[in-house]
Amino acid sequence: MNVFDQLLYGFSIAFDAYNLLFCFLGVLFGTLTGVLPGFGAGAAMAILMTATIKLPAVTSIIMLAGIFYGAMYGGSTTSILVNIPGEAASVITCLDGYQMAKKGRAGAALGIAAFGSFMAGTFSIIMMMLVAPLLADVALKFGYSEICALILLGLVMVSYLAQGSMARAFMMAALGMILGTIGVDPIRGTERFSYGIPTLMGGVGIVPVIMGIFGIPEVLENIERSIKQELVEGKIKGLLPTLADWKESWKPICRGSVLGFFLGILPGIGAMIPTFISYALEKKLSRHPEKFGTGMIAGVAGPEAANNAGVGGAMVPLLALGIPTTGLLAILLGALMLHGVQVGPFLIKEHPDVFWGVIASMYLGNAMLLVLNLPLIGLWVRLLQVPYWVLAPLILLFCLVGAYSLDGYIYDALVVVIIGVVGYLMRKFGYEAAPFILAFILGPMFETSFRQSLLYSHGDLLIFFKRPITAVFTLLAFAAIASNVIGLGKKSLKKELEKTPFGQLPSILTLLTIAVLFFFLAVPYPLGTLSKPDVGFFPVVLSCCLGLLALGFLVKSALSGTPPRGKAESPWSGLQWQKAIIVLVSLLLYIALFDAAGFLLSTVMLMEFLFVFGNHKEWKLGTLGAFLTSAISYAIFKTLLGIQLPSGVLEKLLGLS
Amino acid sequence: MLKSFCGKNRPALRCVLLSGIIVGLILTMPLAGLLRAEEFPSREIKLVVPLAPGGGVDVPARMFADKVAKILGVPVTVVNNTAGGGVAGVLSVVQAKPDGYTLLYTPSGQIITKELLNPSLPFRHTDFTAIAQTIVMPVAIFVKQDAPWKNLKELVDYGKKNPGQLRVSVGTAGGFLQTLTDFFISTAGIEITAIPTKGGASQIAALIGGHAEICTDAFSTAVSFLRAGKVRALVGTHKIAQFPAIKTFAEEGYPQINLKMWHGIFGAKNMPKNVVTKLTEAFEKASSDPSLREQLGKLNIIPDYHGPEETAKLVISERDITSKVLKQSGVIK
Repeated sequence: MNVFDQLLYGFSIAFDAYNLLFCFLGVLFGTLTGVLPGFGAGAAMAILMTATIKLPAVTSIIMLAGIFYGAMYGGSTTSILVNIPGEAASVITCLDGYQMAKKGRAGAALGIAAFGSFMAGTFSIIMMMLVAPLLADVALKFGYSEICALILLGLVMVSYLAQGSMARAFMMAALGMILGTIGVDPIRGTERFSYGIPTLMGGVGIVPVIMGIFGIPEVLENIERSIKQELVEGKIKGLLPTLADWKESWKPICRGSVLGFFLGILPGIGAMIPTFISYALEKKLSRHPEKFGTGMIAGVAGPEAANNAGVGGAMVPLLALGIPTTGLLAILLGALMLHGVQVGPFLIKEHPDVFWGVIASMYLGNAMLLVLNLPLIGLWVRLLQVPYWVLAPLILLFCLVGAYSLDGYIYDALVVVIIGVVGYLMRKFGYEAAPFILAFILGPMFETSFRQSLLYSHGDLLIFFKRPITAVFTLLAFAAIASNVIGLGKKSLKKELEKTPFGQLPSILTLLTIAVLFFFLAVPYPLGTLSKPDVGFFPVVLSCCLGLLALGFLVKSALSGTPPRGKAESPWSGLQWQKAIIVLVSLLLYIALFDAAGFLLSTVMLMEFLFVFGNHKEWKLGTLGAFLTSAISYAIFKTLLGIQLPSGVLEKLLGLS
Repeated sequence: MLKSFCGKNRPALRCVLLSGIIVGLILTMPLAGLLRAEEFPSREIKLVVPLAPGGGVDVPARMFADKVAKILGVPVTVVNNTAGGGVAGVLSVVQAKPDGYTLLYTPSGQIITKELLNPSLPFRHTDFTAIAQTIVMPVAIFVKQDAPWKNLKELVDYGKKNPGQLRVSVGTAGGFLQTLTDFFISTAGIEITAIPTKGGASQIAALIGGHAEICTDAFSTAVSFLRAGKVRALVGTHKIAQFPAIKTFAEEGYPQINLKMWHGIFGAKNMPKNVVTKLTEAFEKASSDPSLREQLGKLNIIPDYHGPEETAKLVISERDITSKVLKQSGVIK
């Protein structure tokens, strides 16, 4: 049977009314979970997995794959609208997508994201269909050193994302990587920097950090400015991408699709890394690289295409070999096993209905998502016109409860607040969040693959040049570093003289202190050597990097004689920062009372406080809103999503516990 | 509502009164529960799983939860709590009331190995009431189909002649697979480099991709590759019905390698005897249920029920072995 016959067979399965329905349900649910920050595709799939036991294997896989897809679409929505990535893969979309929204171009951003995702998804499915078995074998050949070199390349790209000073971006990257070392040593299994605190024992969660760095500072800054009106100043300019937008976007979409698909096949890469390689690539190729970060549509189109193409790519090893390359796919695998489908190299032969049915349904799912999302754009854009005093508390609530919903552990929400404060300070002092978050996610992956490579090579560092594919990536990475260093010399001097950011001296000193402190915390752990790194090796190296960079800054500013304060005025002048502090305190109180007082009571109290605080005059509306929000979020989280919420006073009074 | 009463312009007294009422309500609620005399079980039982949903622990946990719920006549809800690498989930059971309504379904590693790897862990293996062992997952040592060693002895001989050359991919760092591998290596007296991975299918993928010569993996993960003829199993922890040719460690001359990958049910310390008995009866019945056994069999999981005393003893004996192995491989002092 040739490919097209088999595909037609697949379509016959996918078009079965039952399967169509569940495909739709899956993508719908997936979009919803993608939109809700924190609550991700994984949790959704897990919840539905047990419900699907009663369904036939093909149907349940179709639905679960739909969730996977839908989450990718939904995640970009919140990134663009409120600067909070719904999924780790949507982090990059925030950079330019949100800026576009602020300029009234949310519709265009959402539209290009939807279309780009559709085109990329279709591309990746076609590729998957044609080359799955071939590629899967290639993917397996990617070993530890290949992955390591690829991640190194990704890390170097961090510098391309930096809008301002590259040295500062590197400091943020070092800080992010330092944060990433907390938890468990990936090779020994022993704990590292957790000091008996359960939240830290599994590592600082990626999702809480993302929400903390992106969501919270944005809200706090807006509160300071006492924004009483809408988020978007000026008119909303059109709901769909214009022809000019398409001209700028179609090439990034193509490049993003290819990048996303081929990188998505590789184990451990996931959908995130292709997104920022795409972003960095687009920035490099663009005629206006300096405009990236202010609302360039190519910066949305490319990464969005990459993350959706990555989904198809990731399915290749799963369907062709039975090897799931990410956690989400492992859930899919578990679901298949639960249905008695032995996933493995013989899946195509033994269960062609599953393989081709899934592929066909992915086409359909993609189409459904496009049809679903386009009309919603109007709705989402309308959301931005909601008065900010209503929107901000909702964003805060969903961040906190979203973090809580990951594991049913309220201290994950505390991480959001703490990182939120860090992110807020970072903004005030002129440091960028993107390098921080990317290094935070990539750092542990780099360390693991680096140490694995050395275990494999028996300590031979030259393995990074001996294996061909590895060597290519390594050299590319070095080339990128070299071009950065050269560029660093020329560009940054000019930039530094223009405007020294506020509070340079105190912030650099703080970073230096962190580096020194961390150094001393890391030293007690066994260190190992460069060819045999042990638990403490990377933390020590990272703290040295951070410390040296900070020292370098200090030395430079001492030598050049520019007063540290420079010409920048305090970023707090004219702002009501007390308001931000009060809001933070209220969030902390919420977290403290959450378990004891129960979900409903704490949420009502928090919402009431925040609404009234934001707008004294409309306190009656605010009160009503508090009750409504609490009730609706209770319904969504507990009833619809099945998340366990602590039962307290109000729940018992209402007979809900 | 409260804040409008307690805002800047409202009298302090009203604010205090209201807060007092609310605090009073919060405090009296738990007492209401005591007033009802209950026969166990009379309400929903929470089964905490400290690992991700859909994974190799969660799936059998849900199967058992389903069966036990039918046997006991109350809902048994699985709650996944993976915060802190599972620590928070386990902790929540340790700190719960020992009334049998909050139970833990966990792989042995969370109770035994975690504590050894992390001295600052907020619980000890003695903080539990062991209720039952539910299942055991056979583990085997795999090599590629075209590997030069036909049996375990040939592999060990090669290992002795070429110390430090061979590489074995194991599961996550500090996990059961790594511990078992270290145990075998030190018992057999060979030097092999163990390469931890992300877990899941990563270790068998590493073997197939040529990034390790040997792989220690759970049978259920690797079986499809075994069937496809891509890998061979040299030795296993248990006899497997569909592949009787695979020898066990005992058959290959290593009877002391008796660590097993098992799951168990635990509760907080000092649970009352009648509650424990009720639960163990339910789990025993579930383990012998033919449809559950069939479901587990499809996943290559072997039901292996053992009661509270045996399970408690198993925890201690495996902890001794694991501690020795970890000290020997230099992971702990």
